[in-house]
Formats: sequence, structure tokens, C-alpha cells
Amino acid sequence: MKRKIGIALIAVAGIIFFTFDPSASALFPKCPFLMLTGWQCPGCGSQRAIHALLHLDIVAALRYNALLVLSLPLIFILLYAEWKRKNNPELYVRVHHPAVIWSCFGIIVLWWAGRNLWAFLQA
Amino acid sequence: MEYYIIIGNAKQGPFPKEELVQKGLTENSLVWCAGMSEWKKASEVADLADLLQQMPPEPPQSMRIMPRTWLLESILVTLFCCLPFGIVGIINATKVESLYLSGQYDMAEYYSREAKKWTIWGLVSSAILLMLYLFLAVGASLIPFFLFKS
Repeated sequence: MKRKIGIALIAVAGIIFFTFDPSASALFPKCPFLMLTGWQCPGCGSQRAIHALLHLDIVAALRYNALLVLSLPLIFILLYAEWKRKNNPELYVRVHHPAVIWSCFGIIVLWWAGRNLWAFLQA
Repeated sequence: MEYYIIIGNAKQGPFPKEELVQKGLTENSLVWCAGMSEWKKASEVADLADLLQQMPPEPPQSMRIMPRTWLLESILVTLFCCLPFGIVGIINATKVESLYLSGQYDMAEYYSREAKKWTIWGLVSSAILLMLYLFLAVGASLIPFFLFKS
């Protein structure tokens, strides 16, 4: 039941992000962190990136939020492991290896600092 | 020497030593033979040691399934702009996983619940911000209509 609701929500979100362009429409929320600080958060550009991905424009998606695009394989692996957690507990344990979690943490923090530094150097 | 053995809370026997294996003897089975003051674990009876050595040891206590680490959800929350909550979720995920691997299952479940809490807070706060934003955006876009109407 929960799973069905989740799939339905993802489908609805997918249709919305396919139909409307977040960079052109006022209906998409802006990042509160960016508005408050002027710095980008690790997730800034995700909505535009998803819109671009759904239109198969990978280059544009990478430019909006490279982290989102590059972490998609990991997200699918984690999703699969979570889906199979009861049937295949060992896979879940292996996918959640300490190195995996700490790398995620490190990459996100580096990406966060790096993209702001990049924007600062460009300006 | 003949032994009595307790199987499913009932005394059975006496059986010759060799037959105990067929009766389901393990190192934790309680046995008694003439001359013993009380029931003893098979592993404590010297006479049965050679018998037990022929048998595989008891399987280790079954491992529990690893509780959810909420890593996936935390990453998603981080990528969709509820930053502090997503990062806290990831830190909790590392705790869930390391406690689980060291066998502290109850603590792992505690941090699993913590991770869940932060992830859900992230989702809820982003939903509230989204609602607020939509409310303001739609409200602002309606202002011209009111202005030109009057």
C-alpha cells in the first residue's frame, strides 16, 4: 500500500517536472538556503536538472546539478536494496558499508563547498 | 552407561550413550545418568565430550535484519534542499550501520529511529515551505487582477 502511494507520488511529480520548466515557471519553490545566504546548497538546481533529464538533455542536467545526475546510479542501487531488504538482508548490509555512507557524506560536503567556490571564482 | 535426556520439557530414557544423538542431543541438552546429583548440560558431562565433538556446534544466534539506515532518504532530502536535516540523517545512518555491524542491535534500532525522525522533519519542513511558497506565489500573481478590477 505504502509502496503504491510512493510510486503514484513519484509518477505525479514526474509528470509535473516533465510538463513545466522550473526555470520558467513561478510555481516551483526556490531554495530557502540560497535565498537566505546567497550560497548554493548541495541540492540547488535539482528541479531544473530533473526537468532536463526527463527531456533527455543530460548535458543541461549536469550543468544544473551534476551531483544529482552522478548520484542517480547510487540512488537506484540503494532503492533496490531497500526494496529487497526483507528478502535479501545481506545486500542491504553490503550496500550500506561504512565506506559508502562516509563517501556520500564527504562528497556532498565537498560538492557543496566546491560549487560555491567555483561560482565565487567565476564572478 | 545409560542416560536420561530432557526433550521438549519431558524426561526420556534411559538410552545408551550412542542413541542420544538420534534423540536430538545438543551441547545444551540436559542429561542425567546414575551417579549424577542433578541434570547437567551435555557439554558439562565429560563422558559425552567425544560424542559432542562428532557433532556440528550450535548455529550462532540468528542475526537480526539491519534496521533501515535512512541513507537513501537522507541523500534525497539533501539533494532537494532541506540541507541540515539531510546531513544529520546521513550521520545517523553511519551510527546505525556501525552499531549493527558490532552487534549492538538495539542501539542500531534507536539510531534508525533518530535517522527516520530527521528525514521526516526534512520532508515535512520542505512540504511546509512548498505550501507557503505556492500560497504566496499564487497570492502574488492574483494581485494584478484585484488591482485592475477596481
